[in-house]
Amino acid sequence: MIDKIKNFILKNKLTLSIVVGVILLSIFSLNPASNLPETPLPPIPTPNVSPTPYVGTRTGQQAVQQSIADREVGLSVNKTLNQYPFITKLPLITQNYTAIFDFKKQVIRVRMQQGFTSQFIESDVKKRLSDIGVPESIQIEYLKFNDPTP
Amino acid sequence: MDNKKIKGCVIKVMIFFTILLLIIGAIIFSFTLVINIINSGAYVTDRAPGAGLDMPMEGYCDLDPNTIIPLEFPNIYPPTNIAHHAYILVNDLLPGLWCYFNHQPYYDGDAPSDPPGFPDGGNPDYWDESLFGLFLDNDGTYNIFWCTIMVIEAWNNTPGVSLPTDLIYTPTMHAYFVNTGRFTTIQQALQNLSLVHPGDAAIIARDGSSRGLNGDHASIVWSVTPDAITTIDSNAGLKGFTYAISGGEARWGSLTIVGFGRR
Repeated sequence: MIDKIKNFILKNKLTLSIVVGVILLSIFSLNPASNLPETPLPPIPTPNVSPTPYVGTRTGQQAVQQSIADREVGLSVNKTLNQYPFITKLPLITQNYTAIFDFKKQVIRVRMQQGFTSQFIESDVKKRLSDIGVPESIQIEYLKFNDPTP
Repeated sequence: MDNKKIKGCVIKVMIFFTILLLIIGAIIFSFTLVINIINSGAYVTDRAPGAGLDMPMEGYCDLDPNTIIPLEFPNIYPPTNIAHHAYILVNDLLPGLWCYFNHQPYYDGDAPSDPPGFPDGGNPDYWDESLFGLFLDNDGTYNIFWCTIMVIEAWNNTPGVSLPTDLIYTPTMHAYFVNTGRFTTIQQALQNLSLVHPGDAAIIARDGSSRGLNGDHASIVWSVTPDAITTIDSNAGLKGFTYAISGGEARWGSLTIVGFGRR
């Protein structure tokens, strides 16, 4: 039987190789990697690379200390952004009011312009705050134009 | 076994391999498609284009090193105001080390000139190209546009104003203002906000910092209202902060204003 198969393959080797070739070609032509332009991968951070130290006369040790301080500040900023992702969209400044986030009291403080009342602007304030992702659980404090700062 | 049976058998084998190859092809196709979508940037991010006050994810910088993300408000001050020059410096800042905005293109070794309207005639090199997108945590010997450099350059390019160029470390700058009798504490400022002006140098402290109230960060006051003090900043992650005035302090997250250096 094996001899017969061998004979069949030998007799039809041209047909068989064409069939296999067509299948392989169709697979490679379907592969999107061969069609799309190559996009370079974004640079991968390499944490242990030491850049050339700065040796300018205006900097020195103070610059080193400031780099460390700035890095620490940046990390704490990052934490705040994770906690309050809406904060970069504040303050809201409109003709009728301004809204800020009071970190100490954990409330949104809305200062109304002269002649406006909270009933007049409430729905607009709520909509805008909702649009920028302020959670409904955060209370809103309305202050009149000349109310003292809390 | 006759020739017909062998032929049938071979055809079955061929059909089996064809299906197998098609399945493998489909898997390769799906995989490469996903990889290409990711690499082409067609994935969803929550970054508002042009927000200017946004910050990338820690540990990964997906900002373009050559694209300026401008401030969201115009430069309203005349060139006689320090804040005018601070705005020019901060607005043009590019992402650099840690993906913070600390690459000032006019203070780069390749820069052909000073920023527009900056008369001091010098633009020292505060940038190493190799720093972009790195997240280094070693001894801090970097060459970047520190927060204090922005303050110093804004002051020294404003007519009639000067600040020593060696106040690179915030506690040193703080001490300089105190020693020269030009420091307004936050307590004094909140009693009388008219003591604070756009262009003043704000000294910022971080909760729990080893530097205490000597300050960790310096920035330029942009605006003052009864509710908040807004600053513009270099090398702080964001290009600006609005510190809410409340309970006797001006706070943004874990940062509070210690006081202000005035001209």
